[in-house]
Amino acid sequence: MSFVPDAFVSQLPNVSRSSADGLPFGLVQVDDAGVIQLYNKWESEMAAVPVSSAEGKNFFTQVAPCTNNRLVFGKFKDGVAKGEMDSEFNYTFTYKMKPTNVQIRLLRHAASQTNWVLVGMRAA
Amino acid sequence: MLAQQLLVIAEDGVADSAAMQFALDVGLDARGTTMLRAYAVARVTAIHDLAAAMPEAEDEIELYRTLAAYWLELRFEWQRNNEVMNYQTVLRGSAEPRVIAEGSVGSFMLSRIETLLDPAHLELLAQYALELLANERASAQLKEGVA
Repeated sequence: MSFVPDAFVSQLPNVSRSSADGLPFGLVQVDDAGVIQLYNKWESEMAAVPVSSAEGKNFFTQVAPCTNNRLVFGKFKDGVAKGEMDSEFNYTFTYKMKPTNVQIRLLRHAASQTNWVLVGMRAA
Repeated sequence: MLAQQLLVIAEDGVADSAAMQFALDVGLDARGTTMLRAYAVARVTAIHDLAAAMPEAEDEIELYRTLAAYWLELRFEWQRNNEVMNYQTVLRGSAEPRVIAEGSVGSFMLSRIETLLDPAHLELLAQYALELLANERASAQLKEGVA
């Protein structure tokens, strides 16, 4: 079962910044190249990266370099190329933070052609 | 002087405390904790060695350059640990705690060193590291005939 409620996924393209900031998980909207369009409060606090520093940078290469590999960025690029992406998997963050076990969900909303990276905590 | 600032960021107790906390975070046993503390000490000792080797004002540029090289070294070491722990996580469901803890120590040391590097210079270093690895990936794909 995903950490992201199905009802939320269907509303994704219309999420406002204020509702994104109220979420109990990380929400990052990126363009097809991975450049951050929206970086919510939870993600900002978890990664200790201010929203103003993150937005406009590439999520995979500049803000979360631990995701710059085939497992995440490669999967993202494949999904964008195919025009469809919905993949959830376990991951471990250590860059500029204490060891943190997370789940990552990569989503492409087909109708709006928007891309989303969602991050939730998981037990070790 | 940069050499003195290096000794501040390489204060033994700080790195050791961080290592012990990371060991607790990932649940290392006593032997694993001892090994992790030795891992942290080795990286701190490298900074002490730099400061001791180039203590004079006239060596400051060379010391800065060598510190930047050490940042790259640690960045690539962290990168290796990151790949190992996450391939383990994705393929096996969990990563070896030792690798996670070593990645955390490496990241901690990177953060300490970054306080002494010029932000614009640091951005260039990060870009260089990124391009180097991207080029390696492209070369490997060419070799394998992957489009």
